[in-house]
Amino acid sequence: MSRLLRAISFCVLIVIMFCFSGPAWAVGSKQLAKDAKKYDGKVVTFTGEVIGDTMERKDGVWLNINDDPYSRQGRVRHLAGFNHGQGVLVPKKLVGKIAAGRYGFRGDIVRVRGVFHANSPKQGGDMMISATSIHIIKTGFAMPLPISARKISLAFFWLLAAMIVLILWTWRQRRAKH
Amino acid sequence: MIRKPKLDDWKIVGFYTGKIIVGIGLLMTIPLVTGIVFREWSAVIDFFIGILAALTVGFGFQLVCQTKREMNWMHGLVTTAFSWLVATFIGAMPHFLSGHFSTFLDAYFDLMSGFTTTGLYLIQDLDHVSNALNMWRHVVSYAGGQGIIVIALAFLIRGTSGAFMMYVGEGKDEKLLPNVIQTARAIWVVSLTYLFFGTIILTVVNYSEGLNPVRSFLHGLWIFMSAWSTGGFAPQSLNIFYYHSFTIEIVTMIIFIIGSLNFVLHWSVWNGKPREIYRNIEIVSFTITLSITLGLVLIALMQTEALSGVTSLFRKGFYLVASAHTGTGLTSLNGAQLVRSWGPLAMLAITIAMTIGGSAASTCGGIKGMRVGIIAKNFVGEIRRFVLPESAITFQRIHHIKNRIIEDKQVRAAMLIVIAFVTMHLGGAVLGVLYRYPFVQALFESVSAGTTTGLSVGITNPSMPLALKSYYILAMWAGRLEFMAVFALAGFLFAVARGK
Repeated sequence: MSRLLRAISFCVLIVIMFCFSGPAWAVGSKQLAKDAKKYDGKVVTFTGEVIGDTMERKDGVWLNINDDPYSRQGRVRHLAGFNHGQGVLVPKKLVGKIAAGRYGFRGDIVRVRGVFHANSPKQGGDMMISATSIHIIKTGFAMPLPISARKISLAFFWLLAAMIVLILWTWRQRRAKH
Repeated sequence: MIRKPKLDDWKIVGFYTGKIIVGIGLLMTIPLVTGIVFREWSAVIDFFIGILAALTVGFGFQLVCQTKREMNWMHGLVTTAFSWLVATFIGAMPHFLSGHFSTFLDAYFDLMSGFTTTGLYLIQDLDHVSNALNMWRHVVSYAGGQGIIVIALAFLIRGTSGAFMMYVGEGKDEKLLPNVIQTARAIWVVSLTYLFFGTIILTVVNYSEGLNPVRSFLHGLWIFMSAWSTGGFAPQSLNIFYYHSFTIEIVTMIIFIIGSLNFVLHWSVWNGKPREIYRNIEIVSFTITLSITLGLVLIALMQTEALSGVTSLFRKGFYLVASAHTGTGLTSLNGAQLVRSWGPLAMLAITIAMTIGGSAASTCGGIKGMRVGIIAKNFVGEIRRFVLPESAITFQRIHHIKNRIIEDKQVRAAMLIVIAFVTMHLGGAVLGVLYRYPFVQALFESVSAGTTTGLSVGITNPSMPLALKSYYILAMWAGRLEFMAVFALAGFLFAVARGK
C-alpha cells in the first residue's frame, strides 16, 4: 500500500513540476541570437562548455557557456571556426565547483535551465539566461599540447640562420669602425 | 620623365625596414617571457622562432642594404609603407605556428588588424589560446596604436633627415616637440604612463567583478592596451560582453575616448593647458558628430524596440556608438544582436560614426575630427560668402592649440583624404555585394576595416572569400597610414616598372 502511495505521489509531483515549470526549449546560442524575440521570457535549456572565469557578483555568478563545435570535441582539437556562446547568471547557491575552459583545458560541460532574456533591463540590456538549475554533465579535462618535431626543426633552422647573420653583421660593424 | 629608383634607393628602404623588423623581434620577447612564466612551452617555441626570424631578416636587411646615402622624403614614406607589410609578415609567424589559423593569410590578417588597431580577427577557438599569444595580440595592438615607426624612431633610429617623413607616413603629421625623435619618445612617455595607471585601475575593477588576481591583472593589461590604442581586440571571444559588468564598460569607455584624442592635445594638457580641451576643434567636432549619430541610433532602437530602459540604452547604445566613433571596436553586445535586432538605421548611423573616426595624430582611423571640422567650417564660410557683399573679405578660423586660419590647400588636402576613404569604402562594399552580402552589411564591414574600427556584422570570418580577406588587409593598411605612404610606395613601384 505504502509503495503504491509513494508511486502515486511521485507521479503527481512530476505532473505538478511539469505544469508549473512549463516546457523548456533546448536551444543553441546561434538560435537565441537569431530568434531572440521568439524566446524572450521563455524557459530554455542550454548546454555547453564553461569558459574563462566564474565571476561571482551580488546577484549571482556569471558564467559564459560556449556551445560551439569545440565544446563537443575530444582531446584533439580541430579548427572549426569562431567560438560562440551565451552568458548565464546562476544563483550562488546552485554553483558548486566548476572548472572553466582555457588554454590546455577543456572546461566542464554543463546543462542550464532558466529564463532567456533578449535584453534584460535588470542587467543593462544583456542578452542572457537567468538560470534556475545547473548540472555538470561532463567534467573538464586537460588537453595535450604536444610540440611537433617540425616546430623544433624550424627553431633550429632559424637559430642557425640568426647566428650566421649576426656574426656577419658584427664583423661588418667592426670593419666599418676600423 | 620618371626616374627609375637606383640600387641606393632600395638600400635605404631596406636598411630602415631592417631596423623596424628588429624592433618587432624585440617586442616578441614580451609574449616569450609570458609563455615562460605560465609554462606554455609550445607557445614559447612559437615566439622563439618568431624572434629568431625577426633578427635574421632584420639584421640581414641591414647587412645587405648598408649605404651612406641620406634618407629623403620619398624614402621615408616608402619605408613606412613597406616596413608595415614586412613587419606584419614576420609578426604573423607565431600566430600561424599557434595552430589557431587555417592559413597563413588568416594569421597575416590578424596581425595587420592588430598593428592597424582594427580589431577584426580570424583567429579560431580564441577562448582556448595561450596567455602568450593573447599577450602578443594585445602588444601588437598597443604598439601599432603608437606606431611601429614611432617605436623605431624612439629607440632604434638616430637622427636622420627622412625620419620626419617616416613619422608622417604613419598618419601622424604633428610634432609634440621640435625634434621628431623627441616627439616619438614623448608619445611613449604619455602612453606608458597611461598604461601603468590604467592597468592598475582595470586590475582592481576586474578583481572586484570576480576574476582571480592573476586573470584580473592579465585582462586588465590587455583590455587597457586594446582600449587605449582604440584596438578592439579582447582576450575572450565575447569581447567586453564577456564581463557582464557596467563598471568595466564605463572604465574602458573612458580609456578609449581618452586614447582617441590627439597626442598634441594630450601634451598640451600635460603641460598645464587644460582649457584646450573645451576649445579644440577636434573635441567640438567629435561632440557634435557623436551626438548626431547617437541620436540616430536611439531613434532606431526606439523603432525596433530592441532595448528598453536608460541603463540599457547607455550600456549598449552609447557604448557602441562611442566605440565606433573612436574607431575602437570593443563591444558590449552579444554577437549578432546588432544585425538581428537593431535594424539598418542603427547600422547606418554606426557606419557614419566609424567613417568620421577620432582625432588626428592619435591611435584612431577614419576621416578624423580635424578634417571634418575644416570641411564644415569651410562649408559655412562658402555660404557666408554668398550672403556678404562681393567686396567683403572672409576667412574661417579653427582652434587647435592656437587659432589658425583655414587655407585653401588645407581644405583641398582634407577633401582628397575624404574622397580616398569614401572610394575605398565603396570598393569594399561593392566587393561584398558581389559575394551576395546585403549592401548595408557589406558597407558596414568595409568601413569597419578601412577606418580600422573592427566592429563586425559577421562577414569577417575564417571562411569568408579570399578576395575579401585580401581587400580588408589592404584597406586596414591604407586606412591606418592614411594613403600618403601607400601612394608613395605605389609610385615607387611604378617608377621601377616605367622609369628610365
